[in-house]
Amino acid sequence: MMVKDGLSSFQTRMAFKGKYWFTLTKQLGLKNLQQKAAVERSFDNSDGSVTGVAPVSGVAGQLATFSFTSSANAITLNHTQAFNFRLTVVSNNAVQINGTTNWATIKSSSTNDYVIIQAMIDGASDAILTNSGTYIVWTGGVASTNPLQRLVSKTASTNIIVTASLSGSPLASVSVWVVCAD
Amino acid sequence: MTIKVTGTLDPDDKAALLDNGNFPLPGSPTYNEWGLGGGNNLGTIDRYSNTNLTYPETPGHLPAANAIGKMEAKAILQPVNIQNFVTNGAWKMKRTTVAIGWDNGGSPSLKTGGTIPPSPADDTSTVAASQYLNPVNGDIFDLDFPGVIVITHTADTYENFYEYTTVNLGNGDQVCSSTNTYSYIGQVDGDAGSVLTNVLSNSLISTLPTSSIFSSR
Repeated sequence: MMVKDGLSSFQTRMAFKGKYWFTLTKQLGLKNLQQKAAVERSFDNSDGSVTGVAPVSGVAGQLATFSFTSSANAITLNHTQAFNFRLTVVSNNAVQINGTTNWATIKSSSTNDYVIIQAMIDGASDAILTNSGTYIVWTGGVASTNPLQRLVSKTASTNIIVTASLSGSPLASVSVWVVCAD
Repeated sequence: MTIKVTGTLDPDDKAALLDNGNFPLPGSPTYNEWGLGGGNNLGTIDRYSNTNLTYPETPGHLPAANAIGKMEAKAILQPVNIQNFVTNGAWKMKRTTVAIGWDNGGSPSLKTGGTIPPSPADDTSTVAASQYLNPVNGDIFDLDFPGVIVITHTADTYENFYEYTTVNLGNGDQVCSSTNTYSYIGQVDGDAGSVLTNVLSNSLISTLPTSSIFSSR
């Protein structure tokens, strides 16, 4: 931290574009509102750098809070931001049943056929998504090469509850039904 | 999926044509033309030894079958409790058949696919009353009664059946089971009042005949 234009340091907590709260540490200050707005735009457009992504807390109710640092235009901001976190299913043969968190698909004879559960972090930049995935702890199903995804095999009829947790707290779950008639 | 060709009806089977868990007798309140011999036994019966076999006799139409085999297909829905989420109306039991038969020898009077040997076709004999597709107990059922009816002197029929289950998860009916099989062979000499063959089996007829065992009379 970070900016070196000679102004005094201060901290303030403020609404950031109405979407989240962040802690701004400004050791040497912003020269004017236009410069601050440029940093915000850079962050929003993911054309600045985002580093140091780390989990702060997970709240049952599907809020995931991360801390991270964004930099653009020689200015660095420290953030603590809560994102809406949810799970969805992205494989094309699984359908939501009864308008709930239950998803169903038909048992398959193909050994490499999976239901893919996708973690969605609404409003997060690509950089945050990429880094946050490594902190998600999954239960149920099997691992994917994509840390933001979890797999449930379709080779056997089963009901698997897949849960994503952050900092020890469950964030969201989906129940996957692989159905057949024996 | 299980196909029973012997034993008794499953107590979970609540098909509309059944009368308190038994096959209907002639004069059954709802299905009075469906005299299927009564009782809850599966397997073969003939009207020479069971006068309660009147199916599918309808006035002005077909006479009663001389012989039939009673089959029950049962599908257990998996995983357990899926019926609480994929409910009644989504599950179906269907079958295709490959069949050929003769009345009084000569040219085939019953066949599927319009060719000899016959080709597969949907089995149009399935009626709603013979199925119980409400998965309230996690299982669904389909009954079938293939048989042979003598119109003129003699009749023989040979049928292979392929039964399967579908489920509609919102994208139309999709097959969700393996296909299980059964077959029926009936050979009756009506003039002599004798049943030569009346066999219901889980095995398929390996090669369907291309000619009747009877000569035309």
